Amino acid sequence: MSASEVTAARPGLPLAGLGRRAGWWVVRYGPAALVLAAFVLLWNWYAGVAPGEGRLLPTPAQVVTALGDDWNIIQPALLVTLGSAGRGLAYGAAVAAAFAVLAVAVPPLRRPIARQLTIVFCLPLAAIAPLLFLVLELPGPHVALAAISVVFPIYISLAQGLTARHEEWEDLRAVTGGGRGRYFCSVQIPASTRELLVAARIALPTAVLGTTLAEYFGGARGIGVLMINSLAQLNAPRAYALGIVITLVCALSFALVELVARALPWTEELTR
Amino acid sequence: MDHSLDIAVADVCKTFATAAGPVEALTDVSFTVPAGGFVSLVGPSGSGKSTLLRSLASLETPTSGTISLGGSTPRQRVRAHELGMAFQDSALLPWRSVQRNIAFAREMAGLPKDKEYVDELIELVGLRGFEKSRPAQLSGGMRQRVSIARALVTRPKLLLLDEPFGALDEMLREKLNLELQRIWMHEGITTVMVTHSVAEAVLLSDAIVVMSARPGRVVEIVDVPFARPRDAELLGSDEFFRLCARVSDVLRSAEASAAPGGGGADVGV
Ligand SMILES: Nc1ncnc2c1ncn2[C@@H]1O[C@H](COP(=O)(O)OP(=O)(O)OP(=O)(O)O)[C@@H](O)[C@H]1O
Ligand SMILES: [Mg+2]
Repeated sequence: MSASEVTAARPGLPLAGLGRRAGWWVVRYGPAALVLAAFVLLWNWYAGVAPGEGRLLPTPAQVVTALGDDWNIIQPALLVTLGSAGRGLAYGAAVAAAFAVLAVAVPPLRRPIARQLTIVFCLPLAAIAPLLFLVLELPGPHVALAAISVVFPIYISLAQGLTARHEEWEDLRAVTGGGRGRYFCSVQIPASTRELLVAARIALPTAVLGTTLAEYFGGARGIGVLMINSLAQLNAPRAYALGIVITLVCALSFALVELVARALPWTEELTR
Repeated sequence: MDHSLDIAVADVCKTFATAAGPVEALTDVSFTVPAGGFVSLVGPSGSGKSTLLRSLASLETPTSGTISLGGSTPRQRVRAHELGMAFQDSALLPWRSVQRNIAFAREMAGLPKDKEYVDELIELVGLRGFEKSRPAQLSGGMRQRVSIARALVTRPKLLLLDEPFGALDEMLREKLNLELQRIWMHEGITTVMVTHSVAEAVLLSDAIVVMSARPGRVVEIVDVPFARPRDAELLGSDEFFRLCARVSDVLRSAEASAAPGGGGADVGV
């Protein structure tokens, strides 16, 4: 028997395995790649025929060039924006967690808290932003808008997770004569991991977008500030490049949460 | 044994209020178990075995009647962390390893860690090598064994088992039955076990409480006279077979009497 026969006979060997792997990649990422390619081509074509000679809609190549050329300006702005968004996220999460713990401790408060937060959440962020500049020093408004935009989604997820009933584990607590505080920490909180991940998936991009929005309304540095300035200077390629940066940051945050979720496979088993 | 509890169940009734009207899960249930005794509850599905066991664990409150565990109420015994219970569905925490699931009962009870005993129990229920596995990586039978180890880890004075070996194959079941007997003889823990296996009940018990359904009540209490320790040899003997047949007969008549709406006087001892 020659070596090539062995290879052909056993699909598990390296060469055949490579073929199958490639096939898997095509199936997994092929459709997404096609959609992306079609989008870029369509954009490229439309940028050529659209009015404004590229000042309203630059071509993809122009945007990529701007991204490369202006990276030394974009990068520090991005760090500022991420800094504000991160702080906002932390404050917002803290406020949401405080409300959630209150809702757990005092069940009658659950409905009023949810109602009040819904009202706050339904106020358009664009309407709140200018007010924030009246009462807060920079970059306070950038942080505050991120915080305000994440409180509601985080609260809803947390409250759902932390008030969920797990009857069989509550029975176990009762039989062992365990305290409610200990149960809350050892069972209720870990059992909320799924909801926590949902909260993170929503809150991370929301915080970044909240900060960016606040930066439109004023500020010295940040992606939003840079975007407004670029538009004022009719530098459309850079404005679009900034849009792409923000989109990538949000996608990255999703990937990050996904990574954490993979490290906790048992969250899939938490059905309630 | 001096450190285990005797059980006195007197005229216990339990009625559940449901949307479809009241459900009589237990009617005038009475029996006693001496300290260190082993009693099995057998009966058709829905005869209130789990309800009775949960009442012993203070998870249900009887509508009437009394339960005394060594002279105290179930609630008092539970507060003193003196009960161990393995549930019908193993109720493990999916994020914890086998080891940490077993240790969980001590943690909840606020008892100090006892890593050696946890390891000993893992050995005992035959899960050596799976200490670090999570419940999802175990079979149903293995999960039940974790749940039994968890019930024992607090060194309880009363052990309550709800179909602990239900998901096991015959061989493993027999092996664990004998292991359970060994633990029980060694620790002297009063034990109440719900089971669907007549052979298991006869092998392990001092007495078998046979129950019937709709309404759930005690039909007969069958004493098991065999000397201890009982071993695999007994399982093949004629006298063992005869007692199994007798318990099965009582069970069959219990099921038959349940169908046309109960009735008939209790035969409880
Ligand atoms: N929480 C509850 N609410 C309403 N009815 C209940 C409740 N728990 C049990 N019952 C009813 O009480 C009766 C006895 O139930 P139980 O679970 O004790 O039976 P069982 O003997 O353990 O049955 P199985 O062998 O199937 O486990 C059933 O008719 C059941 O529907
Ligand atoms: Mg049951």
